[in-house]
Amino acid sequence: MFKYATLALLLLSVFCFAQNTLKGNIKDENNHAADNVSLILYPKMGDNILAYTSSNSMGNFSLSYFGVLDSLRLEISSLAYSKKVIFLDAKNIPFLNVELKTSVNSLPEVVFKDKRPISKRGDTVNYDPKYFADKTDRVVIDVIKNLPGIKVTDAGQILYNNKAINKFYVDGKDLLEDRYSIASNNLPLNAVEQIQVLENHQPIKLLDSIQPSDRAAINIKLNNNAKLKLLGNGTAGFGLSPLLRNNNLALLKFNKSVQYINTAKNNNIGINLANELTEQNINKDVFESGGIKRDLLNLVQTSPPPLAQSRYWFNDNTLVGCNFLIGTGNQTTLKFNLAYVNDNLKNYDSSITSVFLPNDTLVINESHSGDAVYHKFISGLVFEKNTKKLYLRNASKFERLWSTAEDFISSNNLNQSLKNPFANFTNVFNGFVKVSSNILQFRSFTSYSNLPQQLNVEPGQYNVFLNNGLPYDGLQQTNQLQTFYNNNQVGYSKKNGVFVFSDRVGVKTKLQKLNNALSLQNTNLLIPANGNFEAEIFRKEIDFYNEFSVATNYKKVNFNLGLNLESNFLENKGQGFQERQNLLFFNPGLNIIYKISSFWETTLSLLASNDAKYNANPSFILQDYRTLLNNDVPLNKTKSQSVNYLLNYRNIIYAIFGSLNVNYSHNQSNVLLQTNFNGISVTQTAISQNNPSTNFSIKGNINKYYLALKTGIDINLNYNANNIQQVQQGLLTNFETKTIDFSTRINTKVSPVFSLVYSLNFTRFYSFSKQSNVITDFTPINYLLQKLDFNLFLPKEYSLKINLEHYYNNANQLSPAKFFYADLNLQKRIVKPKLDIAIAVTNILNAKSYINYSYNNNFLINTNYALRGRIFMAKVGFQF
Amino acid sequence: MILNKKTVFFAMLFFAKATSVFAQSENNILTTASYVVSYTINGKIVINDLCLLDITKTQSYFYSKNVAEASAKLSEKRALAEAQGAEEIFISRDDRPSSNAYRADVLKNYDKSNAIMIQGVGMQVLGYVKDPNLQKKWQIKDENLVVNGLKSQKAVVVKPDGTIVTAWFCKDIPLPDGPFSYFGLPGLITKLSTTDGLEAELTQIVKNTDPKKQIKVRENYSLVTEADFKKAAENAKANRGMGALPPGLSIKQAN
Repeated sequence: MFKYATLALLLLSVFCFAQNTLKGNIKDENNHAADNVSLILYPKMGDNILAYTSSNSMGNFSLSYFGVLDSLRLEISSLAYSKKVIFLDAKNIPFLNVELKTSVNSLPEVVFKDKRPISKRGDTVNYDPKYFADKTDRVVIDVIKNLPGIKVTDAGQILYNNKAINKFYVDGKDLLEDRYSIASNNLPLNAVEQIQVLENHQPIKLLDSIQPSDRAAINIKLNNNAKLKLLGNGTAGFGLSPLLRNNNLALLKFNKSVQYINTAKNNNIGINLANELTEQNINKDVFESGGIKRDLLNLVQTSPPPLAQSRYWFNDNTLVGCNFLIGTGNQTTLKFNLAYVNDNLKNYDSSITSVFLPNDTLVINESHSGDAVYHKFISGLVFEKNTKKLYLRNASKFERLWSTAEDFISSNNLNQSLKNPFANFTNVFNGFVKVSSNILQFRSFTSYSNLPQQLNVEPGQYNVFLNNGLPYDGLQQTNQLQTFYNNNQVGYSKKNGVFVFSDRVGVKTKLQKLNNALSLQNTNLLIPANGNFEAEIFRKEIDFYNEFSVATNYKKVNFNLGLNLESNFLENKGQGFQERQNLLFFNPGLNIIYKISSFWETTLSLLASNDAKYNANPSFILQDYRTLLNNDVPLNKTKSQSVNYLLNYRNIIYAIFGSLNVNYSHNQSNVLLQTNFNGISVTQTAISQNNPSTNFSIKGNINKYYLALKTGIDINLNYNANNIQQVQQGLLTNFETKTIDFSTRINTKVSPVFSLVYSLNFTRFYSFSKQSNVITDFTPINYLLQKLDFNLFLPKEYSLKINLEHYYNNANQLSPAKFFYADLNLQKRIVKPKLDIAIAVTNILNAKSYINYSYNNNFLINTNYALRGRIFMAKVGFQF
Repeated sequence: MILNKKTVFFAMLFFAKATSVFAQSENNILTTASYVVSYTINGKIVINDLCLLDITKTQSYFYSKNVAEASAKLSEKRALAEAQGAEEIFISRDDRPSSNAYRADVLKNYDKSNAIMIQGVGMQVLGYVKDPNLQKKWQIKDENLVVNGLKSQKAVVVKPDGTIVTAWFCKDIPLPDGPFSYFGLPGLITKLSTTDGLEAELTQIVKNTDPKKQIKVRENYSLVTEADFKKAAENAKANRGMGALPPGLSIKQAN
């Protein structure tokens, strides 16, 4: 009985788990075999796959499965046919003939997000911001500065592999042009999907394969959520003491046809808002045209210390700005921007300047307390069309500055005040057109600038020289420099085989009018100084030039030879004098890039340039209260030759970047500056004499990011030596200065609990002077700066930030200066609404001063800066 | 009916043309899937690349986009050099694929149910059938995962050498294919990893709209056994630096 029962059970089990086979054939409505159709067999009501197969080229299929089920579900699908579901009786499955209907099925969308922190596609390097950010990072620059291969300077300029980027795009659009700090400082980090570096980026599409670029651009790719809505980023902060505030609001919008960033900011805690308006790339024409303000007259003031600006900057700063980009279709954009910034600055510093002369040492004591007020208005309008066949761009810019400054030097009981407003208008038109294989270029740059300045000094100085040795109330120096500059050029580029030939012909015109007058003030009367202290000078410079270049890509070598020819007409005339010269200059340049491998690249650049300018002014100008300058020299001719060698390494996969840069330049001028000290008063006279100078520098950098450890290390070693000449007290003096600089920065987020940034900067500065055969060695000055930023991420969205700074500075016979600063910030993050509530204590140790030693040739300057004391702030940051 | 020579000639011509049209349609690309692939050995990323999988009605071809583009660029350069009568061409950095590129191609035949691994060895191109019958051994698991927006189900297979391959396939894409030599699941593989460090993830899938676009299998590859392929690779490694060998010689040496 047991045997039968066992046998029956065995048979039953075999029956239960026997393999069943379902066979069939699939055809379409035209009776053609449907091949490669997917068949999946499920239980009637479940999703467990029992069997699967595909039909063969005859449309036949065979499905084997185990088990007994009441009924089955067969799903038949293919990209070419409509999906079909057939319910089958499992106990009696016949040969199945299936007919499918032809259909065009769409594929499901793949939403791919590259999860690698760094990846490279072609010339684009993608960084995942979430990987490199920590919980306290709020805006995009907070992350950019920690990305492998990228550095951000104190002025906000972004460098990729030690070269400044040429564009900063937000979602592929260049809203801010060279003022990209407005975006990098205000764009909320949570709006960013990806940070992309576009290597070798040529912004003009038409020149993409004609003129390769050695610079990169950054593109901020926004997430879908950010593209749909208005973004906001703001802070409201108040503190003590005195009553302090830091409030700012930025409204941002980025969609396909419109982008804008509008900001309003105000603070009196030492944040210099004008930095946000800094142009990070400046064209050569802007320098030559006088578009950059260069003061003719100055207040004697201390130079900025190597400290964070907010520690010594006593400000009351307001910035309002708006920037719009409108896409008008067909790759055409219109951009305009307006900005107004004003500041009210105070400074309280003192300095002891020792001037080491051959037979004497002069000591100048100055204790300053000063006020400066400025209002600056800038506006710009840009039209751009950038296609593969046509590039047109017209940019207009207007800048107006109202600025006054007063300074009281208590040690000398002297008042100095300066009015130095400035106005500039610039228009640049640039066009490229592709005509068959040639590219035609048109460019026109026009600028007008006005720089009127007035310096008042009380009491009067240079008594012997200006007032027969008698004391008097004051001096007033007025200068006005008006400059009109125009540069028009046409050119072409032609690709012929492996060569690209380019030629540009142009004419550059520069007209300048300089007025200067020195007056003596007695009671309320202004009397023109008696002697050679007034002038009205007209300068004219007309350059006809031809810039020819040939470039080729031969084997691994990129070769670019530039041959520039200039014919200059120069004129300088004033009352009683007129000088004119016609000169011809040849300025060749050679650039060779050798691509050693996909990681290594080396570049050699050779450049020779010749130039001439009339700077002559027969009259004396009071540059500052203790410097009278006379520049009565003939035409100033300069020659320079330079060699630059660059070795570059870049490996994205292992996040290693490195560079070695060696530069040597030799300059020759026919004008030399002769300085005579009479007490603390200096008279500088330019004389016609051969004046050579040299400069040599080596810069090395290694940047490595350990992805597994979330740790980046950046190491720099720089050496610089330069040699110049001056005549001091009638003796020709050679000055040689050498600087060695070592810096490193380590940032780590190795643990989710904390992040840390440590930076160290050590500088050793040597200075020598040689007069006849006497060599004077000014013992070196050493600077050491260490900074540690430590973020501790506590439970419940609390975070604690501690910032420690250590400064060390020593000089010969002066006691070393050591300073410690500490700041603390406790923050609580609220997710809904997005708020960061923080309390901060800045300068916990309440350090009130900072002492700095520095050399400028044979000037040893010992400066004592007044600092803000301990500050308490309460802040609320918000984003939407 | 007596057929004259002319009729026979045109009939043959028509037949030849019809055959060629049919052959062309079989090779037409229906869909292309893109995969990011990587291969990590001892923590070092040896391969980091973007590969494409061109799928036709009867077969598929998996290859590196990077290598294909470099190869196309080189062919163009060679053609230009020949047209200009140049005696030599130089291969610059830009012409070469990235050093982290995936160097092999995989041709899968759906009817024959095999995957042929095609790779340059020394001066020759060899192919061998990779992991025969492995596609029949997938074990489908009751685990789901959304991969880049696609609902995917887990499947596992153990190779004869003990390597475990984990694949996630999407039933909504009824293509029994995947990256490298892996295929045979009831839906496109969206994500794959092996215990020896190979990884792939689907990044894009597009329908081909160009009716002329066909898969381009590497020309003139010789089909050998896997054992012979390995011997040839060892010989090529040993002969590196001793000068190029004529095609076929390296296999002969191995025997």
